[in-house]
Amino acid sequence: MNTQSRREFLKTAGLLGAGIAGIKPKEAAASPVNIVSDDRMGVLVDSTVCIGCRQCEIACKEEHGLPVGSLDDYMDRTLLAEMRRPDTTALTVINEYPNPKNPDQHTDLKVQCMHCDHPACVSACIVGAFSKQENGAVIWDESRCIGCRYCMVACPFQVPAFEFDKALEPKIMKCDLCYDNRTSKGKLPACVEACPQNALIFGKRYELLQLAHQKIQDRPQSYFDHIYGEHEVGGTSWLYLSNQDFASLDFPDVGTEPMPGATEPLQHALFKFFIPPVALYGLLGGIMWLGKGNKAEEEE
Amino acid sequence: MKQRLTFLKTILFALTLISGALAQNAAAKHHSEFPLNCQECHTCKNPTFEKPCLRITPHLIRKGAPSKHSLKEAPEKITIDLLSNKYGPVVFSHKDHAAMAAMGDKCESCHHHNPPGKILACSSCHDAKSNQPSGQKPSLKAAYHQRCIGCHKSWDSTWQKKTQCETCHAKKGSTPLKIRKLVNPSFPEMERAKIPETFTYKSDNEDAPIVTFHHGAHATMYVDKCETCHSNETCADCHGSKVKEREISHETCESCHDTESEEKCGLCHDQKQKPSFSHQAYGFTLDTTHAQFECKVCHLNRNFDKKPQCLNCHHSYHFPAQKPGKAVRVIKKKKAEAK
Repeated sequence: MNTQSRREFLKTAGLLGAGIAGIKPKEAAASPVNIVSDDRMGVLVDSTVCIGCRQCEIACKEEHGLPVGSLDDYMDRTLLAEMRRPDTTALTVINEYPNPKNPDQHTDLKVQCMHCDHPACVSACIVGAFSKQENGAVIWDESRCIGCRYCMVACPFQVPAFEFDKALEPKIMKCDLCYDNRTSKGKLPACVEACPQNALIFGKRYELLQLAHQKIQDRPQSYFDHIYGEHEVGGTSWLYLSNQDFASLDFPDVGTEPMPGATEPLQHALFKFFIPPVALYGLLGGIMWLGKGNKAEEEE
Repeated sequence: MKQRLTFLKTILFALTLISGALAQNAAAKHHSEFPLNCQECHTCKNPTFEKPCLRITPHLIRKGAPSKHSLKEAPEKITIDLLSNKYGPVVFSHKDHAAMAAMGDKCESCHHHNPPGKILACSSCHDAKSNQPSGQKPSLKAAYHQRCIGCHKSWDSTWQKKTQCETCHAKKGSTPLKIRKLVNPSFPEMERAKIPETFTYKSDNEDAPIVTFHHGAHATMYVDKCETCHSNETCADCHGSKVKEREISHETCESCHDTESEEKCGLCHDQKQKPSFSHQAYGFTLDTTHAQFECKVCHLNRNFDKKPQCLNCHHSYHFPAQKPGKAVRVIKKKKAEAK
């Protein structure tokens, strides 16, 4: 109750201050868009259905204006023997792993940005270039980015990629859930639309979770009883079902606490309410005061 | 007069409309009045029009609905030519699959949410366009792919250089390929002739550790359908690169054989491999005449412990001096074996 009233007081004070300075309250709030909506969308990846045809890779490149290359190259399955990561040339990739339930087949897995509910990149970005939109998409704003690459360090899944080879205007490249041209307009992401197996299901995150739980319940013999992304790093928009333990599929064990949880309060507290300048000048003043005292003693 | 006629006509037309609407209203009862279990389709207790809280895949009577239909009704082949602009048609050997499905999840392995009555085609529920994000029902294309590729995914067994879309989808203009070639070549057709003949197992019985199982004899003589023994099989159990090794226990055989009484152990357990059962060894030649009959004709109540009595069928006065003697019982021949 106490803190609430204090918070209320500060809010009003802030608003008043902003009003006096002639700034709208929205602009006065420096923190970026970071919405965790109840109706946020997500994608459920049923890796037991995925066949690794790589149609999603092609669709993603076409959607984002990246060079697709020869379509015949995507039929070549020899490169699936090695693990790949999304990079500046491919925002999503398919990896292949042994299938313990059927030695004749493999488990295929699509990898891209997980679109965390509490994204570390949004928290780490010092200029607010990253944002979590209301529909769940975590996107990057080119006009704000200063190229510090803190997002790359912060990401628990090591997804953001940087165009190191570009001297001018290098971009941070990662899956944007096709925010600009598709999902913000109620359309499906390009990869989901392209999937010939419907291994990717786009929908409201809470509905996808219901569906995923129902799938495990209906066919317990086909699934490993875990939905990766339900609780990982406080929940992600992309959810995965698999036939085996996620540790054997190169999914990192990231815990269930949101990544920004540890750093953000500290970081934000430091920069809020002019603590650093006040502390710095306070310290300097203190030293000066102490020095003055010493001098006075010497003089005596 | 003319005015009156038009007036009457209008009234008649209006009446027809009203009565039609009434009749329709009377016919279309709300489905909550039907004897249905609400929970089968709705997740909440009081569904409303705005919030129907529908289950994503309703558990309609999943099991049993198609079982009232026989294999004879099944169409031999189904031609899928949805993408005829891009590929040639896919020919799906429906009957072969249906016959095999008897050993697995039956017809329901594909016709999974079939309501009672007519068997529905995939396209009666799965639309050409995926209904994402509102629903989670796969599109028709995805439904086909999910059903077929789950087994026919041969490219993955060795990281081969190429995917094999063209195994099912013949290039436009060429003849459709037989998917059958995809499965393990060691079981090319799974004809009855290729059924494994004899299996030998080692049990922990110290006196007579060797158990011989004459699979071929069981398949051709004693059991009329594969699914009598083989249920809950998956395709890969037999068609995979490695045939599944089965755990054999007393329970496997006890539905027909007495595995409890100690004096019966010798039927299966021995110190060496046992020869297959032969009537000859027991002093009776199973000639072509007798082989036509079902076992229970001579072995009454299928009691194989008791030696059959010839006199059950043959007249005692003339037999055995006059073969075959006068028949005292008319016996139906068993049906010709389906091949």
